[in-house]
Amino acid sequence: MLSIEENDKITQTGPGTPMGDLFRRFWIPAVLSSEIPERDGNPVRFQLLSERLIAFRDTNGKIGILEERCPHRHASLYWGRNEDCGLRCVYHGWKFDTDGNCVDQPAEPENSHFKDHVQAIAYETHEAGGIIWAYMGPKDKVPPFPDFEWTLLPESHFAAHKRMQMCNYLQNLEGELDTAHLNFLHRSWKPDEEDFMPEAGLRRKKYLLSETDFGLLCMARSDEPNDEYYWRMTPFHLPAFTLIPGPYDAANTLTGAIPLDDTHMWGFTVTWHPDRPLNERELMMANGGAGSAVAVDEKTFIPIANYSNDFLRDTELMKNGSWTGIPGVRLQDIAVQEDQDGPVCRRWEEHLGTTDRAIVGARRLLIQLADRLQEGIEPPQVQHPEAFRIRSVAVNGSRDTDPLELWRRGQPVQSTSLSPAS
Amino acid sequence: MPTADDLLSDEDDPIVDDLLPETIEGVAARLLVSDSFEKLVYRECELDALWTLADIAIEMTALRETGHRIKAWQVVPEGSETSLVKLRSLLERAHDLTVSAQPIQAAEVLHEAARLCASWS
Repeated sequence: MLSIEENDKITQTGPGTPMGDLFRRFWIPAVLSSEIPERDGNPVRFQLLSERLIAFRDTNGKIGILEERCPHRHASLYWGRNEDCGLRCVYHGWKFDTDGNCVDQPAEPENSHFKDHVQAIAYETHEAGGIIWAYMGPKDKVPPFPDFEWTLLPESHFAAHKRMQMCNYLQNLEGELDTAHLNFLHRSWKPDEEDFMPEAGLRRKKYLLSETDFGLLCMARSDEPNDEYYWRMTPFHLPAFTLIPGPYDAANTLTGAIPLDDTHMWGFTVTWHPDRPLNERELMMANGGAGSAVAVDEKTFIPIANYSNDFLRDTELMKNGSWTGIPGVRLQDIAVQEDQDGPVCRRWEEHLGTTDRAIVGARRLLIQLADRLQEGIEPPQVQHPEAFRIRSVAVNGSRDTDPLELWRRGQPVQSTSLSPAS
Repeated sequence: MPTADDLLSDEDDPIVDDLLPETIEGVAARLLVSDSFEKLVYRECELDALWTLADIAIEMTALRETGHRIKAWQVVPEGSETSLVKLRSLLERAHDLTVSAQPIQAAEVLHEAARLCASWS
């Protein structure tokens, strides 16, 4: 349960808000590299943390992310001419480089230095792993870029995808952390099975948390035969990323719930394998083939199956093998997440129980960090880039095995700390 | 090194499914030994569960005249609606104290809540 004030605090990420300030201390994904593939190509416009922005790649390949409006008369730089190392506003010809410096004002008097005192808002950028990242916080607090594993791999080993989702980022983030829903929302069964409810051992899990230097490790344990437990371990790494649990040797999938504004978000997913190129099936799933990603409109990134067409729900299928009748795990998630009281859940009215530990833990961590930041205490996690080099874990282990040891065995860097950041 | 069972001992993973005084006292007792972020989150979830039970009982009690029947109000005798609202308010206070990392104070509030529930039986 959150109070109304806490719900506002955790869901609002615009400029000057406590949670907005917290997000602005981290590198966050802005656009896919493939959206601005060419030097001097057309810019793209998008929103991030309730700010209207444009991204472009200049003549030298350098990337700029600027406030969308020209500082002069607020015309959109989206229409701008990207040429000769800068983006020129089509309205009066003011031109800006990737750092936001005004490098030309052709209508000003010949000897004027006016342009030297004009600046467009520009954010730090970093291109890695198929994504262009932005840092939107104070210039003197730019953190090191996190060591996400796939950003250190050849292009053949990963695939990045993006979608727009019509809800606040927290509804998606909480869904990713909520292991309890898996055996219901995503349930399918064979037509000849009599009981379509999951087995009790699978649907009744025990939940455990461990605060770490990347955020929070959320663990769910279910009973298995042969004196074993099945562990699903979902890392929540700040500010809004999770990894989908999977076996040690499988491809990994990261999901990011990045606020576009307070009622929409960008859902970034990245699938990678540390040891080999992705195979055909993994690529298909990663690019919208009913896996963790969905097919989207190429320009808007809105899923083709969406609220307006009932997410292509097949009600006949609900009688014959699909819990929801909605095709694909991601679409099933979106269908429920986009309407929890609409795009922003009224968390002060919900009715939680003891199985909601991961959700409550993530909320508390985010609010705690946002509050501390308002008191002048920076989030320590941003200073641990190595802590973000993690993989997912979903394994069986004997009942006397420490689950944290099972987690460590799956990590590329064995020294990955599980202690809270200090 | 802790084992899986140590980390998920029964004491730390209770069933909270009623508003009986002993259930509330159980949460209070666990609060007194909760000193980490994780343990306080576990306690917050238990308080959430208690609050859920109280809130739904209040909601359903208000609808009693319209013929609604629900198990949640069975712990509350007729005429106890005001006490139920007071109970929910105490649970909210205990919840907020837990969130503020004040488990001892939260436990004290829960003792009061348990006494209130005991007065119904």
